[in-house]
Amino acid sequence: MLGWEYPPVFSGGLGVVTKNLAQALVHQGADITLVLPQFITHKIIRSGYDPGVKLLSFADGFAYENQVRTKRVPTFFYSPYLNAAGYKEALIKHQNNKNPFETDENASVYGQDLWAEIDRFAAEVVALTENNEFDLVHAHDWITAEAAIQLKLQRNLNFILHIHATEVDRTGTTDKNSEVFKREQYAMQQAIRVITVSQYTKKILVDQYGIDAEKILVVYNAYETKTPTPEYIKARQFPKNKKEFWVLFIGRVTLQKGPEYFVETAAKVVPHDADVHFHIAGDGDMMPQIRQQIKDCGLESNVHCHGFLPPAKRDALYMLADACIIPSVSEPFGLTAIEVIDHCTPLIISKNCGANEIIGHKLEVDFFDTDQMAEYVLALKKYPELRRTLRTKAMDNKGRLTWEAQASRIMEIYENYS
Amino acid sequence: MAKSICFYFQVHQPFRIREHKLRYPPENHEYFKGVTPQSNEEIFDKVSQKCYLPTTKLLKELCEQYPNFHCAFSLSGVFVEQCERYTNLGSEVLECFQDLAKTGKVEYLAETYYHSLSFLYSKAEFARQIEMQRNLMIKYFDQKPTVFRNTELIYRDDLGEFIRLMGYKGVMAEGWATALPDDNPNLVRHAHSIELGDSDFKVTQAHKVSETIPDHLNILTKNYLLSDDIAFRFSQTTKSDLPLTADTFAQWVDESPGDTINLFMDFETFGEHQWEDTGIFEFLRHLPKACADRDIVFRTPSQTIDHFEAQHNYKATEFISWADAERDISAWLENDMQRNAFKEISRIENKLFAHLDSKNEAIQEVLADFRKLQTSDHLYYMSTKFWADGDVHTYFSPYENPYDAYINFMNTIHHLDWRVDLTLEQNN
Repeated sequence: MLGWEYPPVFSGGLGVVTKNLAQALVHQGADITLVLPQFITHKIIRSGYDPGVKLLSFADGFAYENQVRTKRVPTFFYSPYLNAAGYKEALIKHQNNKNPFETDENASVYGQDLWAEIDRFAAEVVALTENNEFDLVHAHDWITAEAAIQLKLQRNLNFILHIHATEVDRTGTTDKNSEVFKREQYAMQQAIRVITVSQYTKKILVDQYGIDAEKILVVYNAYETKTPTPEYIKARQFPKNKKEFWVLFIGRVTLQKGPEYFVETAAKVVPHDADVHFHIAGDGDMMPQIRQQIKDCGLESNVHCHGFLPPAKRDALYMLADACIIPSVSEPFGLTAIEVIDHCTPLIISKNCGANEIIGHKLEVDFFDTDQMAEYVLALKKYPELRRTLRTKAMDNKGRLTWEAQASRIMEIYENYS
Repeated sequence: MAKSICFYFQVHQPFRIREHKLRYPPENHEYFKGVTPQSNEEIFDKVSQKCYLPTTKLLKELCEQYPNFHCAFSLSGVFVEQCERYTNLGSEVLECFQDLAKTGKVEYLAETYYHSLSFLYSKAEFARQIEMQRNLMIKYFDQKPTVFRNTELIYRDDLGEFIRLMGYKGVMAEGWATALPDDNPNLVRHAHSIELGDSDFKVTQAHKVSETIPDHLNILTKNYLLSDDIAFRFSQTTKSDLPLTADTFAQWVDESPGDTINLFMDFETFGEHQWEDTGIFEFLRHLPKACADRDIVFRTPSQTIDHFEAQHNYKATEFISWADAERDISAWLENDMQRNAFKEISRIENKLFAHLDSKNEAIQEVLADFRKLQTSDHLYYMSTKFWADGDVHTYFSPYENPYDAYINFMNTIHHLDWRVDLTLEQNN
């Protein structure tokens, strides 16, 4: 299995998904070797976590992480949301880094551009498999797809491509000439089966990428309920005035997640009710623009930016929030939506969100329809019975999807193609 | 004794509510005009074309052709009001129902004008709404109803007693096992009699329709299996005997134990729920002949009650209805939103209680709007019983989800509440 990010370091939900899925597959008898990029250490230090796992260098053998046999390959694609320009910029910055705690012995081998680095990663993966007998390759997203394609050519291995996000979601456009789009499309064509995380994404693959619907299997992500920790209890101490009504945005502050629609909604609600407060938990490339928008609308006292929050604090916000808005422009699945439901928080969610397909009780909107979002926020505040019904019914959404059940669907494909 | 079929069709159209935003309160009080995506009149016209016009015409032919054919209707007051109001097809539809009345073979039943749950919150309002609908039946069909049906066949022993004391001789109810001592819906029943409190008794006497109170109240119970074979399962291909023919159905009736097979269903079954291409009209056309071949006759509810001797009691200590798998009132009053909306209706009803008979025009105007909001459909749209019965709720709802239904209703009724206060203040 060619993974991408992995706990504790991740910039999206894919790390959690990879971990849970790999574990469940191992539990069901699959013999899995998970190949992961080895992140540069400063990334982990900066994130403020204890990594909890030993980070292997290329010379080391296989390790076991969360019961999964794992191999880490040093590389410098530091995010699946990377584009060619971003890669170049980051690499130069990295190579000029003088901080002795963040030195990276592999710095000199990284490819000079993103595509070269992807090719280099692929070559490393092919070399790694020289003495091993594998039956099938399971690749996550476009960034590992080149390695899967090379394994197909050089080792004669079929591969399954598991799509968690497409370029269409990430950029909000359908530029069929972009390098990433073409690479994604080629990989989908080369794969023996394609897995998507929702019908919504399946439709994008069929409509935009021209992939045969018969080839695509939808396997939804599952969600494991976490038990609250003492830290979590502590984090519940966010100061909240009783008459305040809190609305949350949790996620990366980037185009795909539609943060500007969240602020636009605030601008429509606050003049009607100044007790409604909007909280943004997350960071991203659009943060400066969002801060400017808040200032322009004069919303400084009602919209609060918390930056990226550790899970315990996020959980606390879920608990305190009276509503959560997910205004995503395009979201293949949206694990955040399931987290919201898991906390029984009333959810206002964009129609372009795959998780909708498994959430029955929510308020659905078009991501750009901030008039309707404002109406929903005001209605949620005005009618406690609406909140109560959504909170009570949220429980009905749960417990339908487990990683074990999702893994068993994937096991069926493994058995068919190995 | 020859077995009979008792056909009763429910005809009802709610006044659906137009979109009401919190941020943009409406400029006028026309809550029921400009409803999106389809206006009330557009829906009325559509259903008229598909069902009301063709089916009433067919039934008239059957009444004229077969001496043994009879049937019954219950028309909600709000349906008749739509006939009066909608200029395109309204009067034509009403004439068709009048033509049926003129055959002398069709009975019109009593019900609450607003197709409401009023029995649950105000006996006075309940009695008033029955009276209002009765006046329409006298006006348009020259018939004084003697048999009552409550909204969605909601029934309980005290409701039966209330209706008996008003002077009605029969009530339509669901043939649900919990109320039937022997699980046979095909017999005329006597209502289990209980005593009402003084204040309720007074209300019945203030609104009674006959000088003599019947000794017993007769209950006709819906045979839901055979009724649903037509209403819900007619075009489903899962049953082995399909396509269902009139002859097969007559055979099922013939094989059923008891005296009367009570087939109660929405009139829209014909042509609207079951489209013409399913063969539903052909089925209906051939049914009287297929039944005559087996010596089965058709009787109206009144004829059925008069013809057969009532047996055993129909006993309902809890509410029974014909809705959803539960057959209780959970289709309207299950979740917090529904109960809250219901509470708002009761609260405003309390405010207006002293003015229910007011002749003041302004008060009459808010009363009429308030009463249209009492129509049970509004609560039905708020049902969150998604996974089992929910599909039926979704089919009938103009909203995308129960939450939108609740929000729009609450926004509207709060606006109305504000008008009620204003009007009462001005007229004090």
